Amino acid sequence: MPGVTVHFLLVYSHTAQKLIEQEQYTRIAEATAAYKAAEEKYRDRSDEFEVVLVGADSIGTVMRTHGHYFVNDSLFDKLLEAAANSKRTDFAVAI
Amino acid sequence: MTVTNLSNNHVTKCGKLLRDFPQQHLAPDAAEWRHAIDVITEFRSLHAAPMSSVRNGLGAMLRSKSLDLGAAAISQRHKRVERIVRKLQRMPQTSLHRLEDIGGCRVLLQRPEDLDALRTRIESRWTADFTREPRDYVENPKDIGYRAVHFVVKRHGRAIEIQLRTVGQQQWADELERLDGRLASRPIPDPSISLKDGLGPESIREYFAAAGAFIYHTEYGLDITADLLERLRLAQDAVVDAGYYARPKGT
Repeated sequence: MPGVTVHFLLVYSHTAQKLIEQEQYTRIAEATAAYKAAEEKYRDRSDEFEVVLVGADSIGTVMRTHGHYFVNDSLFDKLLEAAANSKRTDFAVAI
Repeated sequence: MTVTNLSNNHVTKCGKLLRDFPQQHLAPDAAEWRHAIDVITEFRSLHAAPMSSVRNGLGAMLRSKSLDLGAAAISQRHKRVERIVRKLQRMPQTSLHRLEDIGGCRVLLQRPEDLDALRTRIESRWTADFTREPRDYVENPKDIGYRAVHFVVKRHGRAIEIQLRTVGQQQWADELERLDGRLASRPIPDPSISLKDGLGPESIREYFAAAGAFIYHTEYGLDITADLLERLRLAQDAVVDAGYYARPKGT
């Protein structure tokens, strides 16, 4: 919907390779305050955790523009398969 | 804590402090360091409204009947403080208030021709807002294989970066981010590795460069030569041999 921004605060664990926190806000002031608090909480462990604030019309959109926080299927597997087959169509299907 | 002094000079001074002392325990004065963090986050939050404005403008372009790119995805993000500090360290001549990607919008497009259509529309409508020439990383990819088209536009006095990527370019970037995170979270991380900044072992850089070229040729309908396939296979073998990836099943 035009004009609507939902702000998603995401905390991703590189060790667990998945999101461990996901909050959403419609008021930007609340979102940025929560973002700052989450960054402080994880500041000393930033190698392990990634805190990010992304705004979009829906979480589905964020899953497309910031896919690495959501899906763990490796592009590597698809590429190897496509390269082994040496066919453009196989890769097109993969993506 | 709300910070009242957000003059360019003060923002720059706080940026320098964090650049020189990225962690609190390294700083000579803990209170001063915490103030710098408050300033940087407050400064970042000033980009929220301009970012929304740019995102809405891009959304209107995508929905326009003449483009009909409603299937595209568009989001906005505030740069992480950690990434801001790292950038200041990497570009010591650049002051914080001049960074152009504190706030950014990303548009994911299904096909290369969709990217070109949106790019043309942006260039015809927003040229007056550009703070510099567009950067075409599709035509001139970064050494590690990064491809996208970047713009920087000014909205309400703030610079906002726009990234246009195809689905394949985004999948490539997702994989790079995933590996970057995986390597950083190892028990003994190597601080010299930052794939997003193009820094890392030769085998990984070559693998991503080859994969980026393969994806580009596939998406843009170009010939996939035997040389390119061989390059990709060799690069894949190298990253598996080096232990960065497990060998995929069935190979």
